Amino acid sequence: MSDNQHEVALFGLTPLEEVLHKMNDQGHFEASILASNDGLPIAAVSSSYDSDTTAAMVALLQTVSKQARVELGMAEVDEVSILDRDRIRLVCRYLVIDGEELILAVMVPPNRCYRRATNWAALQIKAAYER
Amino acid sequence: MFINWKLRELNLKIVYYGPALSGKTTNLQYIHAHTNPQMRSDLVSLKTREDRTIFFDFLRLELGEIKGLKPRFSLYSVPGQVYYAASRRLVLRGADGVVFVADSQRDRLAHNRQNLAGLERHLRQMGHRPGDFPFVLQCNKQDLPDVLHPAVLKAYLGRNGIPCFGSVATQGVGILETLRTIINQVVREL
Amino acid sequence: MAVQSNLRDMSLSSVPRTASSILPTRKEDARMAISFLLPPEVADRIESILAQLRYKTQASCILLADIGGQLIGEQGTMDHFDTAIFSALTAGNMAATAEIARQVGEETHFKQVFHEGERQSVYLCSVGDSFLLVVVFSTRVQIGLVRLFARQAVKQLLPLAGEFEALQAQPGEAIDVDFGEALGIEMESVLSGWAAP
Repeated sequence: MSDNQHEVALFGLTPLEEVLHKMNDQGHFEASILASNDGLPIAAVSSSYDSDTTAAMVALLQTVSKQARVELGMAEVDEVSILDRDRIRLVCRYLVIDGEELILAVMVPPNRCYRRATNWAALQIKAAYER
Repeated sequence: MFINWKLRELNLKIVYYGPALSGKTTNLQYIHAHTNPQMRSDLVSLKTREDRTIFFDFLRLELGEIKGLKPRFSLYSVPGQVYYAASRRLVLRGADGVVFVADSQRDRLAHNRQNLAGLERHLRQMGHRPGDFPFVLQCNKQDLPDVLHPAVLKAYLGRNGIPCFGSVATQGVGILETLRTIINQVVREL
Repeated sequence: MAVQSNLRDMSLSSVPRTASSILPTRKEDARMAISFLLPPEVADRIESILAQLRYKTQASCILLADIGGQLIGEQGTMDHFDTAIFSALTAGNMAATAEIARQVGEETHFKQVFHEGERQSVYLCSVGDSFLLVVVFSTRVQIGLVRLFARQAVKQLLPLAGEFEALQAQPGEAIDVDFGEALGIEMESVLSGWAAP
């Protein structure tokens, strides 16, 4: 935590980064990333994952969402969740704000809830965008 | 031209045009060296290792307030070589006046003509009638042997009726007169 | 600042439809000669949009310039930073990049250029045909974030740009014969007698 405070003092977090920090705190997430639909990171907060890993996360989730829509005929995807054998969960929420398609991905530790924290974040992200 | 009423600034753009090595950059260098640093920006030059302009030179003059308006002149010079024609067109965007720096040497007449034809084409594409657009002709390198007299060069270039100055840019002769005149031309056109 | 110029052309979906329908379509060349004036209330609105963009991106500096290199609006500042020079350079940069794209047959309505530096990066994007937006930001901030909010700012700026472009530049009574004479005198004081030490 003290690292984050140091970072705030030095660089000034952007409002969206602040939202992710708070969301990670609420949900005890190990990592979170907000990215554009074409894979460009918008904000990333992670204690354990480097930017290559998080970029790979986003790329995977984009593909899944697209294929669900195109090949399975599903409606707009709201959430994708991948659970591994260690019960770590990669959750991805798909947001549309003012025509911009965004992906919010979080790494959830075993046996934690995520829906409330990510719902909260989605509202905060929208608010930060529309300010 | 751009007027920012909030800041009371009148912004005008003047482009120094002409064939390669005619002295366009030298004009700006001289103006830069002979104006009060408080009233001008640095001179920015985008150039090759051999000191040839590759895209443009830029210098901004900031005059004191006159009748409630603060005049700001952005001076640009373009690269002269033939293959930079596309770059010259880009730099001309938003120009309010042009100084054509001609190389007065007799054997450079064809280059002057070709370059001037290009300028006139761009001005027409911009919606200007060449006769109406603020224009000053500077016949540079008057110190070299076998040069055309400014009046003769002006006639050869088909530019009668516009202000014309002989100059030796390397020595600063004619530079400031040219600048004053183009500024007056531009302001008169407003 | 040590800047590595990585020209990344990030092809994007097109400019929002609402924006392109507000601007009249004109040939790019014909726009080269347009003069315009900026009324204070429009200047204020532009400033407010740029300030919001700066807050959302924590940028060092935001500039709005025209394609001729003229600075229209700015927010934020940097040491030893001449914004007039910067707007001339970035306009040149955008113009050259757009021409490169045009030459290879890749003409796009929404143009972007991104320079990635060691500590500061620069993001440029077009605002319609006549203007460009420049964001100078810390490399700590993600380019995707800057692009997201720059696009938002472009949507907000386009109708304003349309407004003040349409105004024929009317210098007003201020610019008359007296102005010309006073200008001549001012030029003398700026130019004469000063020589580099």
